[in-house]
Order: sequence, then C-alpha cells, then structure tokens
Amino acid sequence: MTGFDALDLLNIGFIVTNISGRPLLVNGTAEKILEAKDGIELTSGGGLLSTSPGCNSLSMESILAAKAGTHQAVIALQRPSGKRPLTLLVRWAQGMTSADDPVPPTTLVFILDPECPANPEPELRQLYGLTSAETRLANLLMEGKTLDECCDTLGIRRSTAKMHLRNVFTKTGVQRQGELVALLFKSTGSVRMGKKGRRSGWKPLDSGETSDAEFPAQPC
Amino acid sequence: MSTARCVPSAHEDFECPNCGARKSAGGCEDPKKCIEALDRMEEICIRRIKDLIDDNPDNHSFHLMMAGFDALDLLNLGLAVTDPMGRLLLANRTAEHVLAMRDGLQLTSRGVLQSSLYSSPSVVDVLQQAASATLPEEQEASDVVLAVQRPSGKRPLTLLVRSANGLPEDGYPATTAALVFILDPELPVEVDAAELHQLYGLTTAETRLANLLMQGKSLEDCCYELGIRRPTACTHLQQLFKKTGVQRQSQLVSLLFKSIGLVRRKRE
Repeated sequence: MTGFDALDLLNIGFIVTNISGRPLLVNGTAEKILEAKDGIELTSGGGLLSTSPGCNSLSMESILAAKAGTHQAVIALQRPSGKRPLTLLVRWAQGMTSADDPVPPTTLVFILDPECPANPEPELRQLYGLTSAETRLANLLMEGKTLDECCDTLGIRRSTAKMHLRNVFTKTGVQRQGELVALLFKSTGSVRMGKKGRRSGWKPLDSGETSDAEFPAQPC
Repeated sequence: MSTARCVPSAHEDFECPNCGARKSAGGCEDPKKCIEALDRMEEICIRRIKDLIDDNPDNHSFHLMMAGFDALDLLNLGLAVTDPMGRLLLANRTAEHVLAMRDGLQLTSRGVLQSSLYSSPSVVDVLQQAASATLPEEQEASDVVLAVQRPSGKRPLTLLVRSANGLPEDGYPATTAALVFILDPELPVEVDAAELHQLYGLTTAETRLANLLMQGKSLEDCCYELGIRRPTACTHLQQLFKKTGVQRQSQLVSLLFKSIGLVRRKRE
C-alpha cells in the first residue's frame, strides 16, 4: 500500500499502537531505533519496553496508559549509551478521523533521535542548486556546527568556508546562519530519498490483532 | 484524508471525462448519456470503497493507513498520491490545503497535479517518470526534489517525488503510483509549549523565544515580536542553552528541530 511506503521514507520513527501500547505498525526508522535497544526496544511478547535508566521496570504500555487522559504526551527517554535522550511524542488518534467511523482507538508515536544526522545532501543539491562543497558545509551547519568547526571537519581554510557560506546564502535567499538552519530543516523536512529506509514491503507484526494476510511479507 | 476534488477554473477548458469532448468545441454530443455514465462510475467507485471497509471489519490495514495520513498531517507534511498520468488519487489534509490555495501547486479540471507557474522539468513529467519506474535502479533515479515557485512570491514549495510501485497482489496488478511529499517552508513551526516545557523544563517565556528562533528569526526580531528588551532575551537564551545543554544559537535551533521537530499538536 502506497500510504505505508510513504511512512518508510520518513527519517523519524513512527509507530501506531493499539490502546494498550502494543505496536500495530512500525516504520523503517522506528525499526532501526528499536533494534539498537538504546532507550527503547521490543519485548519478546511484542510490546514496547523502555530501557531508559530512569524507568527501567516500567513498560511503555503503562507509561502510555497513564497518560491516556491527556490526548498527547512527550517523553524524554534517557539512553544507556549516554547519548542525547530519544524524544517520544505521543498523539491519540481517536477523533482525528470522522465521527461516524468506528475506528478502533489507536495511538500515534513519533520517535526522534537527536543524535541522528539530518543529512539531506541530495535534497539540498537539487532544491537549491548547491555544489558538493556547499552541500557539505550546509549539512554541517544543520548539525549546529560553527564555521570554524566546519573548516576543521572539511579540511578547508576559513576564507574558502566563508565564500561557500556566502554562496549558500545567495542560493537560498537568507541573511543569517540561524535563518539558514531553520530554512533547511523546514524545506527538507523529515523525508529522505534513496535506498536508506526503502523497504519493499511491510513486515507483519505478530500482535494478535493483525494477521499476516493484511501485511503481505514481500521478498526483498 | 479525503479524495481529490476537481474545481474547474474559469480559465480552463472543461473536457468531459466520459466522451472526451471539450466545452470550447461545443461540449458533449449527448450530455444526458454522459451524466448517466459518470453517475454509474461514481456509484461503482463508492461501492468498492464501502465493500473494502464493510466486508473486512477486521481489516485494520485501512485504518492503519488512515493513521499514517494523520501522522503526516501532524508533521505538517503534505502527501499526495498520483497515477502515472499525474492524476490525484489521494491526498491528506495538508496537501489538500496546499492545493486549495492554488499558490504554487494546483489541480487541473481533470484532476491532474500541475504547478501554478512554468517549471522545468514539469511536475507532470516528473510524476510520470516516478510512477512508471519499475526496476529498483529506475526508482532510485526517479526520486526527484523540485522547488516549485509560487505566484505570491512566498518561498517555493518543496516537492519530493518518489515512485511507489508495489508488487502485484493476489488478483490486482502491480500498483503504479507516484508519492509526492509537499513541504511549505512558510508554514509556522507550531511546537507545543507544554511539550517543550515537559521535555526541557522551559518556562513559557523561554518556549516563546525558542519557537521564534526555530522560525529562523534573529534575537533582535524576537525581542521586537515578544515586546521584551535585549537583556531579557539574552537571559532567556542563556537559560535555553543551559537547559538543553548547547553553547550556541544555531546549535539550539538544530537540536530543537531534531528533538521535537515539526511534530505539532493535534488540531481539534
């Protein structure tokens, strides 16, 4: 289904769970985050479990259920690796579809990993006509690096970096570095191109509520 | 989520979807027959959708797809699905809103996605290429990013086009479609204040400042918009740095986009 393909192209994790927090649908990025088992993972029973040092014994189901009255929630999940915490943004999906539609209540869970580089290189090149050198610089600036740090990473002199930066400003039509970073995030969003994250089919989740027939496993 | 609606504009020539006669050339030979045929087609279409929902009450995949469309709306991300001819098959609310504004991207009277201004390559060409790519190499080559200029002079819309060719499923031929993600950089970032408070323990004033910085505003602009003095703004900024563990403004903007991103609150 094309709607599912679209979700696989997001570079942020996305999970649909039933009301008790059991995942019904997991996109490619979320799958990778779960596989890393750094803050959140799947239990053998197919539920979500937080491995966050702060809430070790708490299963995600109880966290989600506890917040179910508020229709939305945000959870910062500390990670055993010491990396920046994962952000879990939870939205309850009831009421988002039409009122007379008997949709079983579901929860939308977004998982954001601040340590994951944004990396929209091909997008930037095509969108603003940046050269490879300009794209590399823009990419590092998106990570919040200073111009000096960019020079170090790229092995270029400051005057060269300044020239690239001026060109990037001209091509994107901005005046400041902060404005550039905001524009790049807003214009490339969370959709990524290429093989990364592209899968040929949806893996069925054995959740007891969905059968394999609904998500035909397709050969890669 | 909803299906495409085509609103023929006064400047466009209407072409009957049944017999193909143009309005400018006198219209349909037998209008009654054409209307009946179109009614029949619509009935079949509605019945098919109803069957899909009613006959499979356990078919969660339809509801899951709806949830997926809602999720993209929450990311301020428009999604349109078109056939190989560029005709709109499905659109989420965000994409529908963009199309309704007719500022950069719009539908022709036949429901084909087109840019409001001339673009090279044309949107239709890109969609055709994406939807007809069947081999994985072709699919990758047909992934295209387009900046679509807008008559209003606002920042161009970003169109990310991907091919979405599924394998044939029991009885149905392989689907050929193009996925079009639509991003409007002019849309305000609507990060929820309560969530920023929860995530980093920001105060209301700090949250307001963080939100404006995410729009790409300078500290001076922020002072002006919030009606605060520069030293106050600097204090808030220092607090923001401390609470999020960063050292610089661009680092802060980057972290906010990556940790809370464009996920906004639900619209009631």
